[in-house]
Amino acid sequence: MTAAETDIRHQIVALLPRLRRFALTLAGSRDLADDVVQSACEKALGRLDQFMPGTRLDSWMFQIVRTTFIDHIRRQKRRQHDDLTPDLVESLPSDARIHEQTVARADLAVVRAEIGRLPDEQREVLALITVEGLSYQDAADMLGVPIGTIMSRLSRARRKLARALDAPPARPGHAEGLPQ
Amino acid sequence: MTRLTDEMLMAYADGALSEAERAEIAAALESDAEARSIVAEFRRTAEISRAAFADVLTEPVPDRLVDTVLGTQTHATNVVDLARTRKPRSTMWRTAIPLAASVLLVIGLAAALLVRQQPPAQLIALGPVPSATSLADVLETKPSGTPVALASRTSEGVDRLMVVATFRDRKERICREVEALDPSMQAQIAGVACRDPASGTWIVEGSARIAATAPPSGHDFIPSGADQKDALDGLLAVLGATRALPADEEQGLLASGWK
Repeated sequence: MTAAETDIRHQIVALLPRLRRFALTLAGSRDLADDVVQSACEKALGRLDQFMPGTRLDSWMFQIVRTTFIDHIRRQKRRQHDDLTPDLVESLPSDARIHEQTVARADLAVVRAEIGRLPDEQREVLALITVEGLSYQDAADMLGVPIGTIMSRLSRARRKLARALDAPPARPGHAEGLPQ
Repeated sequence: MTRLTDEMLMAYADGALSEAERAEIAAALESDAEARSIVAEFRRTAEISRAAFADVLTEPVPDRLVDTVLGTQTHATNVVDLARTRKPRSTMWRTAIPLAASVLLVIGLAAALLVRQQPPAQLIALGPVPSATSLADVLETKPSGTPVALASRTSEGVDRLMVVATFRDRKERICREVEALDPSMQAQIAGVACRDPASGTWIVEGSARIAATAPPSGHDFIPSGADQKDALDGLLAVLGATRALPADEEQGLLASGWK
């Protein structure tokens, strides 16, 4: 392993928390997110020669995580597993000991659930830009669509999210959207 | 008269406009209450979306992912079940460390309350520690329990670094728990860094903002301080940190350059 390769591997390790967060935002379940990140890392290591030094490693890795996730969903659909509902129960917080924490965490679980219900193309721009902090232009470059389309998707995603969160919960104290 | 589209208001809320565009929209907003409320809504959705996934950043990364990237030997194919391993191990770790260090750990970790959710600590940032930084120097050359002053106080309000304890992880790497302290010696940031034996590089495996002060009220989404403390406890468990090295052993390793 060359010094440059060791260095890039260390940089990827440093990115792992963000890659996991990105995958979780897309996938809605930690187990699936970690599987996706693992496959994506294997792919990335197999084509390190395609990474252009001087360009952003995080964007490159996000791109690979995204395509890995999309491939996974396609495979799953082919196998007629139509249950793609994010694993919301898993994403619900565990070990909530104090009442106030429980409330705040339940709110966050509802946010995750509502983000999980956004259309895929809206959720991915929310994940890239709002959660991961990419610029509109960086996201447009990565996804290969015009910046206007990116901004339109992101604004629709966030207005939809705001409306969903403002709506009174169907069952108070119960995270909305949980599969029954 | 500027027609304010959702996209423009969002870009304004996100701080993504040029100064000229920003000023133009700010002027238009003065007479448009509905647009102002939409801007507030965009700010809120950004804040809650980030908050909803913030905990992932501070929790330990499963070993299998790190092993995959580093090409190191996998010792566990499945994600470590933190919920089961964390509690007993962290207790052993706590009780086994020297008294002085344990007092600091209690200040730093056990009694920690989160100030509020913020981006990951920059001073003890995840990943390889750049050489010739204060953090690299402290990790490489300073014994546990010795605070080292930083050149200046950081934006995080800390002005010194101190290693709290040294241990060997499951892979026999040398790891050190380090804290960033404010002028009153309160730990604000804690992290764990392990030394890559091949390159001699220290790699921060996890860090968390901690503080022994109560969180400010009025914030809708304050994750519990326990989250971040648990993240560090979980990290120690994943690393297999069961006992701190005695001071003389640490001294010997320091003297020999961790050989």
